[in-house]
Amino acid sequence: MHELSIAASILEIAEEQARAHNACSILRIGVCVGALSGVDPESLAFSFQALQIGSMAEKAEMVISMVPIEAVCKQCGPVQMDVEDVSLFCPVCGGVLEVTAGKELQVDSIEIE
Amino acid sequence: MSQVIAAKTNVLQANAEAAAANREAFRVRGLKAINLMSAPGAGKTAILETTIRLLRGKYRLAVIEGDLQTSSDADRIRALGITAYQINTGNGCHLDARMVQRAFAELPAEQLEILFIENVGNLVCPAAFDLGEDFRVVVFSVPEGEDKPKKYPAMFNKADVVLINKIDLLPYLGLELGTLQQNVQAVNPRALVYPVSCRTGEGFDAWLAWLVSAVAL
Repeated sequence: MHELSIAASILEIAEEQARAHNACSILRIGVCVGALSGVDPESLAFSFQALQIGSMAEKAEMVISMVPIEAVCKQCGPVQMDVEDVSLFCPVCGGVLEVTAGKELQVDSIEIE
Repeated sequence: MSQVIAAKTNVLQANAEAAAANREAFRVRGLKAINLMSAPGAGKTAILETTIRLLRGKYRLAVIEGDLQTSSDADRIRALGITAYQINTGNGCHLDARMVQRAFAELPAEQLEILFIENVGNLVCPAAFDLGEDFRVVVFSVPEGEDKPKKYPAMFNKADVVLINKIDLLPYLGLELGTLQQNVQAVNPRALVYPVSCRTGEGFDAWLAWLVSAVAL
């Protein structure tokens, strides 16, 4: 359940930015979560709901965008894969793939008023 | 009037900053830090005990132990004559860089060459938290099943070294070491994989050879 501390960090970042812009409340927080980041979006949303009470983001909606895993083979190009079955060897040539997306854990945008 | 701010901020930025400070503190003191992670019961402390017995007297070592409760792991390390600092996280499921920063302040840092950080037993949460370590070592034990790396790709993908522990149990479980190794490589083709057994001592020569070369870097 490290999602609780992740949610606390998200709230902290959002409140800091909101205060820096002299906002009185946060309406929406856009977060992107990579499929390989080790963060579960459902428990992140649940943790956030528990923490937002009494904060500047009390009424805010947290919108989580999942980033799928993307890997690329130097010889054969991009390879799609599911987090349920990660294999970082190219299915065509057997070469080692480089992960190019899916490890993100970022606060993208904040809507304030 | 509402307004949208493009924040573009790493959620773990505060941890990343503390981890960078740790990394610098380790570097200026000329020590190498190793973050040891696994599921509960995979044998992290047993691996440390065997490793310490083999390295004791040759390197100056210390251990930071992370557990929810108890100081039993730190006690096991201290019984070997090595300095150990126990962090109790309460209900916390992982160590973060700030906890390590505070623990490191309690250790005789000037006299150290290798700092082992034994993380909380958990294959999910510790993967996300950089502690400022030089190397990430993940332990995966044979009874956990051959598909473990594929179930926890985030953890195994970031490992520099994977120790497959309890290989003396392979014949009883009907598992093939090759399959276990392939499943590690599938999620992390760059990981160095060393099969070991704390009971028999098998495989420790290769793991220690890596450790000695890594410390010399």
